[in-house]
Amino acid sequence: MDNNDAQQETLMRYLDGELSGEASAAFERQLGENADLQAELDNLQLAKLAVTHYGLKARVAAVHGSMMQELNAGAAKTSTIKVYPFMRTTLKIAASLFIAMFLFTAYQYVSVTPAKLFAENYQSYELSTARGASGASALEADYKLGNFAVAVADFNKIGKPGAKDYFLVAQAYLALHKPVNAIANFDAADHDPENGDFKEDAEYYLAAAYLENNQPARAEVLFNKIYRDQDHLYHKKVTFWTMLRIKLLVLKNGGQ
Amino acid sequence: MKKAFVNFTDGELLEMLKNERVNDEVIRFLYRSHYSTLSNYVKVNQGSEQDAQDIFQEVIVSFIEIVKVGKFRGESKTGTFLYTLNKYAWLNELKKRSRATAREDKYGNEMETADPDASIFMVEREAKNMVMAMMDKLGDICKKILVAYYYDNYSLKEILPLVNYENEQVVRNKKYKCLKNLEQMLTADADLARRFKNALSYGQQ
Repeated sequence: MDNNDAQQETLMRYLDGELSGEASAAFERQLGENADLQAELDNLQLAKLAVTHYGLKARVAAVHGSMMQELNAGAAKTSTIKVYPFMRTTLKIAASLFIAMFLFTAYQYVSVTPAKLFAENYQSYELSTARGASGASALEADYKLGNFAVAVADFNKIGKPGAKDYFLVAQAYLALHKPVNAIANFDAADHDPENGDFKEDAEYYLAAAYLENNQPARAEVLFNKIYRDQDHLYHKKVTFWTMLRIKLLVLKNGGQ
Repeated sequence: MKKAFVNFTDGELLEMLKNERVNDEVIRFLYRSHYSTLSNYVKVNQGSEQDAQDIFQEVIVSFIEIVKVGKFRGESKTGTFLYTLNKYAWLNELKKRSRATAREDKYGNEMETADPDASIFMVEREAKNMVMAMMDKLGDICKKILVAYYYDNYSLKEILPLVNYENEQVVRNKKYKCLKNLEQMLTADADLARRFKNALSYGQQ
C-alpha cells in the first residue's frame, strides 16, 4: 500500500467516523495543511449527503406505496359510509311505507265485504218535489211515505209501467233488500227510452244493487264509469278509495 | 382485527425524526395526518392526483431533513409548516411548468407572497433531482452498499449477505469505489454540486 492509498483509506475512515481520538486529531491537522485533501473530504461528504438523501427518498417512496393503498381504501370506505346513511334512511322510509301500504291493503282486503261497501254507498233515494209534484201516482205517494212493500204492490197494478215506475219500484226493492228484483227493474228503467230524468240515478243505484247482490265485478264497471265522469250526478260519491275497495272485493271474489 | 395506528405529539415527532434512520411508522403517521389536506391543496390548484403524491413525497423528505439539520424546532405546528412547504413546492412546480410551456408567468406573484422562510427550504429542486439521477447511474450494487451503510447504518458484516461478496474488505473497497465514483460525478459539475449542497443545507451556514 503506497502513501496515497494509505491517505485515501484514512480519509474514508475519518469520513465514516472510524478514527479514534488521537488518529482523528492527527488527520484533522493534515487536513488543515492540505487544501486538496480538505476539498476531497468536502466532496466525499457531499457524496455521502447525496446517499443519505437518496436513502430517505427511497424509504419515503417505499412507505408511500403502502400508504396510498391504505388511504385510498379509507377514502373509499368513507365515501361508502357517506352514501350508506342516506341510502339506508331512504330505504328504511321506503320499506316503512311499503309495509304500511301492504298492511293497509291487507286490512282492507280482509275487512271489505259487499254488504259493508253497500251500506257505505247506499242512501235511500228521495223523490224530489219537482219530480213527485201534483198528479203523483200511488206508487210515488207510497214510495215517498216509505211504504216500500205497498209501493211494490202499487207497481204490480200498473198495466204498462214507464221508466219512472221501473226506477221507483227498483228503489223500493233495494230498500227492502231484494237486490235481484231491484237489478231487474233498474235494468228495465235503464233500457227505457224515456229514462232521461233517472239515467244517472239508475246507474249509481244499479251499481249499489250489484254490490248488495255480491256481484262486485258488475258494480265496478258502473262505479268506474261514474268515477271517470266528472259531470256525473254521483261523481263525488265515488272516490279513489271506493274504487280501490271495490277492486279488492273483485279480487277477493275471484274476479266475479 | 382493526389495526392500531401510532400517534405522536409534535414534540415526539420531532424527536423521532432526529434519529439517524427514520422509523417507517413516523412517515406513516405524517401520511395519515397530513396527506389529505396537502394533496387537496395541489388538486384544487390545477394539480393531478399524481402531482399531489409527488409533491407530498418531496415535502416529507424535505421536512425530515429540515428537522435533522435543526432548522425546524416546533416554532409553529407541524401541520402549518408542512402546509407552507407543500404550497411553496407546488407553486414552484407550477411556475416551472408555465415557463416550460412559455405561458404567462401567472404564478410569480403568488410565489412572492408565499412564506419566504419556507422558500429557503424548497430551493434547488432540480439540483436534487439531478444528483438523484447520478445515484441511479452508479448501478444497483453501489446503491445497495452505499444506502445500507450510510442511510440504514448497517455494518460491513451486515451488508455482506446483501451483495454476496467474499468478505468485509471486499465490501469496504467496493463502498469506497462507489462513493468515489459519485464524488467524481459531482465534482465534474461544480455548479450542480454547489447548488445541491445549498439545497440540502436548508439555509444552514
